[in-house]
Amino acid sequence: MKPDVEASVTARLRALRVDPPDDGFMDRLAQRLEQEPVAVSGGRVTRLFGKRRGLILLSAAAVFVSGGALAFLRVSPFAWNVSPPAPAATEERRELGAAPATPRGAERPKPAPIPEPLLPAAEPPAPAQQPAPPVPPPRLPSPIEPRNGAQALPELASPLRAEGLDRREQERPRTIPRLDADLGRDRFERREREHPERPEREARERNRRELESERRREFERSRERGGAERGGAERGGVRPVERGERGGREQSGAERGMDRGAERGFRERRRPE
Amino acid sequence: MTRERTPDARLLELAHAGDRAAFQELVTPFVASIRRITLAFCSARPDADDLAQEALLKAYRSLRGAPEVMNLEAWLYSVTRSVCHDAYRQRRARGRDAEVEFDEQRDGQELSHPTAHELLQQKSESERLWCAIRALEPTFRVPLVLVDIEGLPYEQVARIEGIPVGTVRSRLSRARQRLAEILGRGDAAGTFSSSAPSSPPSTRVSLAK
Repeated sequence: MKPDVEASVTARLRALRVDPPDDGFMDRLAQRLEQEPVAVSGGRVTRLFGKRRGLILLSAAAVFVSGGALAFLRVSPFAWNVSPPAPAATEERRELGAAPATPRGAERPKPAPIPEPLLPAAEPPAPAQQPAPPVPPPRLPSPIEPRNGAQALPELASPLRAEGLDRREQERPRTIPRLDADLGRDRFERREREHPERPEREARERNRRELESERRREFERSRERGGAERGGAERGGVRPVERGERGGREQSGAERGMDRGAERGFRERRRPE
Repeated sequence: MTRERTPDARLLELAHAGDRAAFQELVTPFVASIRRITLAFCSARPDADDLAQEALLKAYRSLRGAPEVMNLEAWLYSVTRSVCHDAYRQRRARGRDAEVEFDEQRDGQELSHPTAHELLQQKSESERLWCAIRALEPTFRVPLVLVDIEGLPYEQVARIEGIPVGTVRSRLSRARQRLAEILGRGDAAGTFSSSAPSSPPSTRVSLAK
């Protein structure tokens, strides 16, 4: 490119450096600047929370909403890890004549010492008392029997029961095995008590012995017939194998034919061309 | 031709804090240059002014949260350049010729296939020059305006464009060469010479670059 051409282009372009008419440009710029929000990114909120203010405010809102939901449902998150109250509360202990419970962490008060004059005079040592016999643990009553001294609960006067609509409840199968075992044990014990001679058991034993002798006799008969110990050929057993004989069950005619055909085909396939 | 327009430190601090009046006072010396840069991308002056206001608003938003600006003039031109390039890309993505569209709106003429000569015939000398600048590639326009019109040094233009100084020089050389070609064709066709008779265009220069 020739220098004079470049210089002429530059000179013509330099002539374009004239200020454009105002045309209210600055006024419109001022109006648009007025519409811009103030201190959105550099205000107090940003200085306080930084650029993660949205996340922080969202977390705070979530905690607030979840706390409100728990309060609405009457669920205290601080009661999850608290042990249940002691069986003897302070009032109950006071009624029983005992000292109130000592709060956790506090030092237990020591009993007051017995004054000297109140102590009994020197007496001969009392003979050693025999230890009391151990008390057997109370046997748990059967669930179907009322406890000792207690009365069975009266039948509830339910309108459903009066109308006979509780049949389904009565016919509901008992699915608790421990209760079934208890029930069977109770029945057995009651039968043992009521019928000490036990005729059913003797009859059952007699039947069992007869069946066993019948089985033994059948077994002996099958052995005499030459069958296997499992019951002889007439009953589907296996005949004893003689020396030099092919073992196993006798083949039927069809099976033998199939075997011969297979052997012939094998031989034909093996025959050289 | 280097100009020293050092902004007031107090105004700059107030503008950092979001003071509108301080920002307005701060950018006033550069408004004319910004409007000239945007005029290289829009043929209609109202559209160029809208683009300039967009650039200034973006600068106002960015200045509030930005760290300290070392060279306000270069920073403002850089913001303007990015806004102009974004607008150019958006118009091109819409598949519409921005310059022709603006000319249609302004002149109220139906220009289905305008050529540079047809447009240049209707404008004065300065408008013809601006039209020729808009016929250049977008990467040539800002360096040409900043160096040949605004008189900024190559180093500052290199900082504004984010390119090496040698690239600025080569782009300027090619921009001037191409501009001379366009203007030469226009002069040969009589569109740039008021004494030359009007003749039909011999070449078609597309403005939809």
